[in-house]
Amino acid sequence: MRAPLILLAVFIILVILAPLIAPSDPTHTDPVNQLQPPSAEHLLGTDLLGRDVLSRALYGGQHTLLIAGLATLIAVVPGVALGLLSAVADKLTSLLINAVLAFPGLLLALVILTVLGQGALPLALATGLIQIAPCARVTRAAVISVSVTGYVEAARGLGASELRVILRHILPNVLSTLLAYTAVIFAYAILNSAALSFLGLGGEPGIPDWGVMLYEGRQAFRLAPWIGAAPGVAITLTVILLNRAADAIHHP
Amino acid sequence: MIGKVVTTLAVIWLAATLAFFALHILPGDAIQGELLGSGASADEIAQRRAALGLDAPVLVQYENYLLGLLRGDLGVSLLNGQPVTEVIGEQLAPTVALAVTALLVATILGLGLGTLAALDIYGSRSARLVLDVALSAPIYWTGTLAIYIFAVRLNWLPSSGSTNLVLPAGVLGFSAAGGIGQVVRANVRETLAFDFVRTARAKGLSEARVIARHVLRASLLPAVTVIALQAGFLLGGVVITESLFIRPGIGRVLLNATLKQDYPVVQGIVVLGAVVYTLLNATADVAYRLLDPRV
Repeated sequence: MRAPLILLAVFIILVILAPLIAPSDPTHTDPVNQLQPPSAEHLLGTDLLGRDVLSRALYGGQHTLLIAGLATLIAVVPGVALGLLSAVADKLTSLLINAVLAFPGLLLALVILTVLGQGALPLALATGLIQIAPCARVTRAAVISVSVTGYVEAARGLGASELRVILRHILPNVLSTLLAYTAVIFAYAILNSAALSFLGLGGEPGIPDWGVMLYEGRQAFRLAPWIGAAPGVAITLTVILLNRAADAIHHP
Repeated sequence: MIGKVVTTLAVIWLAATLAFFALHILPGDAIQGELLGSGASADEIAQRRAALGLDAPVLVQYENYLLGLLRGDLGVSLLNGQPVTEVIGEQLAPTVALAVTALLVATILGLGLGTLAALDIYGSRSARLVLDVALSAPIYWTGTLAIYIFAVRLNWLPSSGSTNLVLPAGVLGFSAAGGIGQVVRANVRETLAFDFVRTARAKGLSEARVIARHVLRASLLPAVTVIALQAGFLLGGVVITESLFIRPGIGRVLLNATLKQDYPVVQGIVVLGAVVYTLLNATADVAYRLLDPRV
């Protein structure tokens, strides 16, 4: 069951080491060699501007994973806090969570990007903020299922304060659920930030990014399907590994 | 029952309010964008905005908006003055066709692959892998790939236009099948461990009959809720699918209206989305009660 975690780590290390292992500069254009199919010189081919697709996929991973990581933080911290609050406090918070869930996330992301403009941080905010409500709902459900157990009642019966019950008894027991769900949120963040880039709203064109690469690949996909294949496979593999890792954490 | 109705209305009201204020934080609006582009004077712009009540304080506009909502009036598009209900009405049919077909594809694929993946027979591992890919592959990439394979290479199907439903519905349905299949797989595995399954086997029933008559019946109930939730996911998916396949529909209208800051249209679609979402949840609830004799 460790396999997905190990593979995921390998993937992340490859992306981090991009400056050392990438065969060429990801922004170096070479118009003479544009749209070259995969060859010994360019293992994954070249794009519309003659840039090396493999190098761009490696560097692009840095940008995509960084944004997804930021988005996960933006989603998980307030999401868990809100979920804890709604589980112990009242119906109003859960009503609010439901209202946000009924709101198309894509629209919220569009509004955020229109207000803040393009760039890494707005993109992370746009993808992170829309995950707060689902995260709160999962936390709430997990906390409620633990709240009715004997040891929590026992702790309350012994006169432990509400804060102590939450921090010492409930939180440790929902941790694996939350950790697994964090992996899922990370996976969603990759997909959603790439979707926004794909709609032409996300990253800056100059910086390599999996979503931007898919967008560029879409423009020439009839002639050069390999441009989109590299980021497409990269995203799919990373998300599969994250989902499997979440599964492994949840059901060890 | 009354409590349910009140919560449903409250959720719709909150979503509408959220849409209203989120959009009013944005600087500018469609009128400014369009008229500035066509070289109108500041005076003309002010006149147009006043005619549509956009110069009033935000809270007054909010009040008017809510009052209109109660009468079923969603306002008019800032771009061409067409009533929003009409804009939505015109574009609803292709989107509903896409979403319903995709949901059908997702349900069939999800149930079939999910069950197969849960068992330990020939094809189970492949079924799980296919479900993993369905859940993880970005729709905008599988969509491009599907166009490349089926429209460009094989030339079987057209890649765009309103008449073509097969490719977009297939791509969207495949993506949604991932979520359904995952839950079905987990449920079937859970059910297989129950005593009544052992009893059925001990009675000498064939394995196929045990699965079809006993396991599936018990494990498909929870899938109803997930299918309803996936329907909500489809609403987001249509925005991307319609853009990708250049199909007319609500998703593209929403994307365009947001980019051009045509607020009334955006708000109208948000309210519609919230209504559909809450109705689907309520339907799943009722279906669950009807199907499960214990609840």
